[in-house]
Amino acid sequence: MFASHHQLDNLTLFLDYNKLQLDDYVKNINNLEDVVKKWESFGFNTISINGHDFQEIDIAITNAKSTKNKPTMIVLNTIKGKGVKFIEEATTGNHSMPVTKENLELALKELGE
Amino acid sequence: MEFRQMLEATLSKLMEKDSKILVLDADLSRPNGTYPLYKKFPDRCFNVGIAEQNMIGIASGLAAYGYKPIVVTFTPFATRRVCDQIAISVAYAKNNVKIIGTDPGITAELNGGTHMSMEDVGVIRSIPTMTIYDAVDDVQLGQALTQIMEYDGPMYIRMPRKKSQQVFDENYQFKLFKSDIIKTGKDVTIIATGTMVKEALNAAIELEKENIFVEVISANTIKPLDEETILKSVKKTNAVITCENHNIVGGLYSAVCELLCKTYPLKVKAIGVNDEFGQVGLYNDLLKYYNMTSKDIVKAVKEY
Repeated sequence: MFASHHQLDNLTLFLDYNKLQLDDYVKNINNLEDVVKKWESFGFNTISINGHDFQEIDIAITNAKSTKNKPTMIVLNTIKGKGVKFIEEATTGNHSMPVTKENLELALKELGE
Repeated sequence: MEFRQMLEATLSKLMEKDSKILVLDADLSRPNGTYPLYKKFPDRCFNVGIAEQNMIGIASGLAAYGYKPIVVTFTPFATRRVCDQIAISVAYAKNNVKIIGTDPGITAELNGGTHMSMEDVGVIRSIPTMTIYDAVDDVQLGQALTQIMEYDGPMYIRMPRKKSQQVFDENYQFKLFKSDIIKTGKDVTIIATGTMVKEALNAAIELEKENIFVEVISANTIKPLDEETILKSVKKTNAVITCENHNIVGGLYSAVCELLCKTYPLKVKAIGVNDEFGQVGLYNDLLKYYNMTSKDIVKAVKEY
């Protein structure tokens, strides 16, 4: 509210939107419904993109910089543990995962590191 | 048994008997052990999300309609984050809300500084009508919760989540707002709370080998203090050390000093966090870092 009221166009926010929280999916606890519409209603230039795509992020930041009289919110639609199957599949179980030597090696291999 | 297992087991029993008891969580039902209650009592458990201020507001409203809500979250989010809601919606409005803060002080271990509350007792203690209980072990917690849910008034309950050190056995009988003399002695009185009771007891056992006899009092409730038991002991020993898993500013040390200043002035030494923030670390390492081990207590007694 403050940022849009004062037309802070030099302010850019990122929302790492992975749709999960500790106990469950966000939608099963307090459903946020349409976050883009919510941020727009607060007066933000709101851009929703694939949070794993560097090119989309680059375009969104360029858009944010050229936007006048409005702050920008970039909603990064992400998958928690992206690129490592056993972390992705753990869903709510990946809030806190002890890293064993075996699953560290497995994860690095999958990421091609 | 872990503290959180005792919490779940006790609440489960109490909720079966008393349909007015409700449980509220803020996205920590799994780590705090209340998760199984959602299956047993699906209409009486509410996960409000990461919205602790709203949780206290909801609990206050439920209490105003005669329910007995118990809210559960990590210590800093149960106190400093919701200070205004506790002061106004709970205490000022005379609502019977029970607030559980888990992982107090250094028991937050690897969750580190943001989750390691050293000020929770100080914050809550300064709010009129609030009462504070600090759990010593799982045996005491089970008995205490039963009596606390029968008590008609707001209370803040501090409890670790994980493995409990044993201080009390199956013969123990907890009395709400009473302290326990867990070791008698004539030379020095140690008043301890929560997990520090075990450290104090270990120190007293060590000191006994050197013919220094320490009386160890488990204060149990920091507010109200069991003034009668404390004063009786202090008048016998004329030496007092407090031990708390909390900032010595605003916690047990402050409470004991306030009592003794007006009734029986004498020097009081403090073992506890010396006005510092928390940090990442294992319990035993943090005990050492903040000079809160039984060895530190032994040293404090000898230097008194």
